[in-house]
Amino acid sequence: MGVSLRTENLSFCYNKGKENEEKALDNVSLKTSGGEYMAVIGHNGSGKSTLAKHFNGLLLPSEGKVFVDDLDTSVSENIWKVRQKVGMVFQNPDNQIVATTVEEDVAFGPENLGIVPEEIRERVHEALNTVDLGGISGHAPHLLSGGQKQRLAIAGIIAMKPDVLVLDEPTSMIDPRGKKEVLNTLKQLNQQENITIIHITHSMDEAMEAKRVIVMNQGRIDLDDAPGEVFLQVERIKELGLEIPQIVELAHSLKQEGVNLPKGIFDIESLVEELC
Amino acid sequence: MLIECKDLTHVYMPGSPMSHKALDEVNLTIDKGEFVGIIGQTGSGKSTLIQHFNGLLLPTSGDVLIQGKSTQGDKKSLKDIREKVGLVFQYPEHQLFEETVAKDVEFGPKNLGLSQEEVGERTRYALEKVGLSYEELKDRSPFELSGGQMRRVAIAGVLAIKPEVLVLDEPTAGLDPRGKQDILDKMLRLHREQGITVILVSHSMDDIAKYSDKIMVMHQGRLKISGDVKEVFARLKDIEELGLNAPKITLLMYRLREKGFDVPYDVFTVEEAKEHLLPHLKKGKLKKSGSDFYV
Amino acid sequence: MFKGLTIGQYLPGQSILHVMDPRMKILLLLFTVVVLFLLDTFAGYIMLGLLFFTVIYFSNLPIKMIIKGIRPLFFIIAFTFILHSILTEGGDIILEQSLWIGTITVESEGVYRGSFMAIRLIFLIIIASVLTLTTSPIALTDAIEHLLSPFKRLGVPAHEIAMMMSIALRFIPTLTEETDKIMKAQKARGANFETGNIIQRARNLIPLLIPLFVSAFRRADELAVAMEARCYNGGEGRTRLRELKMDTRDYLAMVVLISFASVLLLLGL
Repeated sequence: MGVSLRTENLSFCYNKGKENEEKALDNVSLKTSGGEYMAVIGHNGSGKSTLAKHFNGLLLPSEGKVFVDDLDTSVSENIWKVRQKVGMVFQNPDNQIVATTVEEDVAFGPENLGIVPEEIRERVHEALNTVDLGGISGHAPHLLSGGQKQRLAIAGIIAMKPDVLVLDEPTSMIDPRGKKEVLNTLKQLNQQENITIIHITHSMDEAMEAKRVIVMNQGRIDLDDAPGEVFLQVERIKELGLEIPQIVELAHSLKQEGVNLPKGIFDIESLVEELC
Repeated sequence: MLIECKDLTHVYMPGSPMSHKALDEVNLTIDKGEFVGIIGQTGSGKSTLIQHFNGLLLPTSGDVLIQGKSTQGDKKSLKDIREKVGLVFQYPEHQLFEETVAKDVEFGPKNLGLSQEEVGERTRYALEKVGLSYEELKDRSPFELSGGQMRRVAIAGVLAIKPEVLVLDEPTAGLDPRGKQDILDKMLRLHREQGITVILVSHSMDDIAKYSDKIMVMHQGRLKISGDVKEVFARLKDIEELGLNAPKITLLMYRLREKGFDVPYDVFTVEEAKEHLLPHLKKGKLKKSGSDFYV
Repeated sequence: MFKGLTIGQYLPGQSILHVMDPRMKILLLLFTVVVLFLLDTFAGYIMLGLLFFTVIYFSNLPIKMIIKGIRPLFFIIAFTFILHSILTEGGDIILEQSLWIGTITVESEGVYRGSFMAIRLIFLIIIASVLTLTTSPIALTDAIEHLLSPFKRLGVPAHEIAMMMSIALRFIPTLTEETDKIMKAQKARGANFETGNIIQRARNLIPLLIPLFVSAFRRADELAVAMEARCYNGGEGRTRLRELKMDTRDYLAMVVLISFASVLLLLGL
């Protein structure tokens, strides 16, 4: 708890020095403190995934620094500690499952940390219950739904007892029911286990669930505020190629036509109340 | 009647302990020139259903007719059917295999036995329709392209067959909002300009509502609801019971109607909602229907 | 050919054979193979067969399924028998036939040799089937890793081999599904996987194989990143959730088999 993540003037170029060099992050400085639930949103190519990969040292800065609780990610001795503190779940549900059964996959992380078998067993059991997969510990991964696979991936990380969970577009490739399952799990992890959640997404609806929304554009942070405030920037968000939740957009649209509505209408009931 | 399913039932692995009835006596018709949206949760049978439209799967019982010809006919009929009904699977970029973009798009027309000239023409046409430049990309390897471009090349590969019916299975899966809108708009344009019958399979009620004329709702292998958009959204409760979410705007209109306001319920986009609400609003409040008191 | 093949199929259960340590099972299998090639009389094989039959029967294993599993490989067995019969000389001439390639002679020694080889193959198939029926793929992989560990100092990458095997096992069903999808997508574009001569069919497989390979490489790449993110750093310092432990049961089995085999061999069978 209380692990802080911060980047200082972080810049990153893909293919640095070569002719197809591409600047993906441009002087990004941000800080997060323990227990936050943060969404990072942006269109494809905005740099959000690149940023995420710096949090656990999968990518190292071209310029600037990234610190996980005062551990500099570019110092190679730190890397395994960093990755234990900052766990990551990826977009493709299949391509992060290593083992042939659910419980063996959750055990993979703790096994890598050299945890003793009895404790691994406990952690696996706990993690599976937390994500509500306790009943299928012996199942083979290909029998799971998309939502179950992503929850399995999350269980695999929390069994390593991290402080931060970074999720890189975890719901892009799964169906609506699975999306809901994952979002509920994130909420629960943040509220009950006090794990810092950093959710990378391009869905505004999902970003709404977080307490802090960072909007990225062309490698820079464009907006950084609570969801309520961010949504007020309707025009800017549309410019950035992102969707505004329908109700928010309608309220904004009506206001532009002179209808007297207060700020901060995000859901159906509020709008209905105001209109009647 | 372009596509017709009669008591279509499909059972996977019949007779084994793992047999699974994916389609249960489905009856439907799709007419030429329609834009049909098929929606349902995972496991509802929608993917199985569309694979019957071009004979990739054959019925366990019942029949599927494309322009009157059964998919269970001879090989020649099947070949004709696959020429008429083009099917774009989910994540179609996973089917790319050729050395160049042009060659990959040419695969379909070549299999039809067309002349080199015709093949080249269709390739240009198809790439143009998905918004890609033939000149720029024709000699590039499909694997060098961005994810979005790869997807378009894959779709072009099916368009090059010039099918009369285009079936799209979740064509926007994994794309960001801009990408989603772009692909669907292009499909709509194809539909309008070329009269191609489009069948869109999706999880998103928002997308289906916005683009379709007719909606079919699948649930556990059965066709539960079928009708034009207005009819289907009149049955909001039924839709919700099937685990599907109507667009938020539509739910808003329903709530306003419940409160006694005379607004239509088959509204799915913000623009439409604004148009319908503004006339009713005086000084920021809605006036009730049938009364002339203004707040 | 793959339909009806019993080798490679796993049936979960609780029999003695199921709960035995997989390492012991593999070692005993290897031991049996050696014994099979040392035995030289029908009597010997019959005795060995009786032992196995008893074990299989009392373990409630599906004997029918095991026997049926021989059928797909019948061809190989028959072929071996015929080859030996024709090529091995010795003993009385049983059959002589003039064919366009010359004269074929089948002599009694050849028939003996042929039968023994056939019997050994049949035994082999049966024991291998029993092994895979009673041992889950992951248990086999674990066992192989342990058995190869002592050879690490000779440079054998035991952990890496086991990790590769287990990841391959994990992805087989996933890749099978993907193959199906790709095949369907290409068929929808008019691809033909069914007709044509060998060369045509091979060429027709390109639209299937290339996407599959590309996808497999992409998966491997993403998986590697995911594994690193979970602190995977090779086999050093790793612990295991499941530990293999030999117990009395395993040693007892070993003693029984070795004694039995020794007796048979000493009796000159």
